[in-house]
Amino acid sequence: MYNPATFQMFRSLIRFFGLVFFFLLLGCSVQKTAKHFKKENLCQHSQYLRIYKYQKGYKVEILDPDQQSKLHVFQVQEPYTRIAALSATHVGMLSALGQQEKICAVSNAKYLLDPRVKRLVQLKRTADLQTELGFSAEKLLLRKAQVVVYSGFGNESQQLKRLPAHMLKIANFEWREKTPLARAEWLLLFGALCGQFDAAQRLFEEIQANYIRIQKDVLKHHHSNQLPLLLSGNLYGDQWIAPAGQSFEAQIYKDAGLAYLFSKEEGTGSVFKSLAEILRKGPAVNIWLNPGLPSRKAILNQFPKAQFFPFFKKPIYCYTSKTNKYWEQAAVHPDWLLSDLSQIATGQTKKLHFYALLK
Amino acid sequence: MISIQQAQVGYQTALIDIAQLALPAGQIYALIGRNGSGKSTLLQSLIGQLPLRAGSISVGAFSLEELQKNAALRATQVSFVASMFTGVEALTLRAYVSLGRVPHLGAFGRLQATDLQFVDKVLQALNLSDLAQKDTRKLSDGERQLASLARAIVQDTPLMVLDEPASFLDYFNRELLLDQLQQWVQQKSERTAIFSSHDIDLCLQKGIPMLVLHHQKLTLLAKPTKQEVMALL
Amino acid sequence: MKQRSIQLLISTGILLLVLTWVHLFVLQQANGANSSMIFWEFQVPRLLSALLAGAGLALSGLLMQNLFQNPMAGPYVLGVNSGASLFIAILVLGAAPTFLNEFSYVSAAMIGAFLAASFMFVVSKRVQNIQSLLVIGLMFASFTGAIEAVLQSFAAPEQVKQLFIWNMGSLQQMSAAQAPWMATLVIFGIATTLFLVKGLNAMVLGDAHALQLGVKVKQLKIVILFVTALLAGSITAYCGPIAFVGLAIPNLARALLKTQDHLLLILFSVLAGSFFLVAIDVLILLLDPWLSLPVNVLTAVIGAPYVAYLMLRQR
Repeated sequence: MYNPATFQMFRSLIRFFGLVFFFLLLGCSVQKTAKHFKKENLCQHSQYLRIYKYQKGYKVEILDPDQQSKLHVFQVQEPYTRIAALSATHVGMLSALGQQEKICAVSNAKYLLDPRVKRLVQLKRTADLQTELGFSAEKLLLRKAQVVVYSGFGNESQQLKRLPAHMLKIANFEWREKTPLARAEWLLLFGALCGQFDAAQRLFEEIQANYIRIQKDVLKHHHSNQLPLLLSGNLYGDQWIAPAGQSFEAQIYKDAGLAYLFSKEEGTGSVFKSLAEILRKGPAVNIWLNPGLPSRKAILNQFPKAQFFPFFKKPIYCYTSKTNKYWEQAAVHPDWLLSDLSQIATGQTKKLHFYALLK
Repeated sequence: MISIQQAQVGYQTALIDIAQLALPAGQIYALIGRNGSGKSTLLQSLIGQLPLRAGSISVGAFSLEELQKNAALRATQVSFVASMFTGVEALTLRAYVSLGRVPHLGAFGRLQATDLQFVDKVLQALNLSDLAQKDTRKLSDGERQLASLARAIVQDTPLMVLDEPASFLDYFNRELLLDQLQQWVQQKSERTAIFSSHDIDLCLQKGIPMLVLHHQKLTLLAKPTKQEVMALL
Repeated sequence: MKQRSIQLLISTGILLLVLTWVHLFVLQQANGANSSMIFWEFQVPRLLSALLAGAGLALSGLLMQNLFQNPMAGPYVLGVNSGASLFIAILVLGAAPTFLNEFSYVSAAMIGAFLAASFMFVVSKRVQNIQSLLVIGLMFASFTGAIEAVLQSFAAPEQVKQLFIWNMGSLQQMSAAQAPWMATLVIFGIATTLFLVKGLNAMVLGDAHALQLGVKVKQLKIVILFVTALLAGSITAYCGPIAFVGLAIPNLARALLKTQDHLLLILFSVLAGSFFLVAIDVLILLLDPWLSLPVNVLTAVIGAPYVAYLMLRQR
């Protein structure tokens, strides 16, 4: 029978559930919009660099590789016009983006490669701070630098402390990255700083595509059980210093179709080996890379007993040292580096960007 | 035998002027004088460290000039005992005394059996045998001075010069040192010892001939009395 | 007493022979002894470096301690090595590469060592205590270091790197061709010193005393300076600066032998010095799979505490 009380009760219940349902729906849609606002890290390879795009600009986070915490967090809304690039790599990245005019200071202009930057130094529009380790804070101030990009491996901290708070100080940890592409990705940082982010992203994608293409090419043509064995580095005093097995150098050797002598050594930096060990493992080495000297004679000058190295008569390659070409461009262009190394691996060197065969 | 002719002794200026003096061998002589009179300076000249300003002194058959030029020769003619020896680490008493034989040793400084026997005999005479292996740093002042005397004795020279050898010694050691010196001088002919001292009474008591340094002059008193000495000083 | 000393000398000698064999054996393991070229060009020179440098530096230290009449003297501590380093720096940074041969290296080092030793010797005459002398030695080292730094700022990076590497000190730099030269110089130094034994023994008592004993002190000192410079300089030229051996070993010799008889001290210092450096190199070789250590690190780790102990005992 129709009971008005029951009907009322029913209606309240429906109202109640309706309200609950409504709030649930509301909640869901709020979730969706929240996801819609969550930023994506535009860096896909880098472990220590993160860039997020906002309406007005970019947010950059740089992590400390040792402590895994955020070292620098800042926003870039207006592009900067006066950047101090204290390392050759930084100069290289800015030059790759055509932003040489924005470099207000460099260290060690003597070995600069990029002709535009050299000209700017000549015209005194860009200052030469002489050396990176122990740069002059006063000179930077005089130059009215807005941003200082430093490498984080010198003892620059003393000088950095003396810089004013309004000057943006950014550590560039590209050299701590574990893969060559992650290293090159720091190009995006410079892109963000100069208001050239899209150009930087395009350039990076080009480099990345190139790299992957060469990588695939190598895979197609080499025979994995006949890879030439590579030894990298040189003797300093009693110790041989070479890249460790998990460094980006080791990575790129692998991608180039080379077996690396220290590929199994732990670490992402350098390994220190004794001469005795090098002599023991030496006979199997096919190629010697990066002795840091331009000729066999120079190697002998430094260490006369090198003539007795089992691999001394094998092909030796090193980056040309007259200019900073290697240091400026290799980080940005791992694809060129990979191309060089893959040619070195096959012994057919048609066009080398950075390397030369030692005489 | 030491003879002095018109000698002038001094550094910058003539501190002592000796017209003529002859000291017969076989004696010990006490050099007496006030503070600052030049005792040490005279002794330095006698051992050839300080050239004479004028005149000549001869020690036995050699002139001081000859001895000064030839260190090796001098070491066989004159030995010297300083007022204090502080000892050297890791140097035993015996090794120290043995160093007195250096002027007589060959190029490698090796001690022969005769050298060693001589050293041991001297140590025994001075009652130092028990301390032979002791580090010289650990000896008492008296023991060290006796060791220095032993070293000079072992050097076996006609002339021994001692610069206030007994100053830091106690009564007994002072007596012992002087007695030993007397014995040494009498053991072999042509031996002479000259030592400087502040202890006039002891020297008088022992009847030691005195060389008195006074008013820049040197006077020999073969059998000194107190009045004589006091009169001069 | 002497019996004991002779026993000690003989046992040290035997230990040294044993250790030499061990060194070659361990080295062979490390190097994979499958090549006679590696044996003669790397292993043997390394052993010889250790033997000769150890002997020469220990002897140089003994001589310096006699000359300065102080147990805290040593070629490194008193800046003799700094002098050698400076002259090598001048040579490397200043001279054209054609001049850079063996002879010029060694000469430069010896001249530098001699000048430094002479300078320190003259200074020591005017200085009251050894602490001041050590401070002056340190200042001298700083001074030569500063001059080197100035020279470096004008030099090319390769030269600077060359110098930096050389400054680290190494037993592996010497080549087989250089070995006979180094051996000749060190053996000549030892032989000359043996003829100075009598004078050295007397000098222990001080200049005046030694003079009274018939030693031609002035001449002796010049010869000592020369031999020290020869030893320290030539070793520094072939191996770079190696610290603590010259300072610690002669003191150890005096402590163990309890004598100032320099014939025994020389023989023991030479044997013990060789032993010490070879032992350190054996240690480096044994640690090699895990740690790669330069020579100077180990000589410091072992030598420095001993030297500190000596200094404390001085007070």
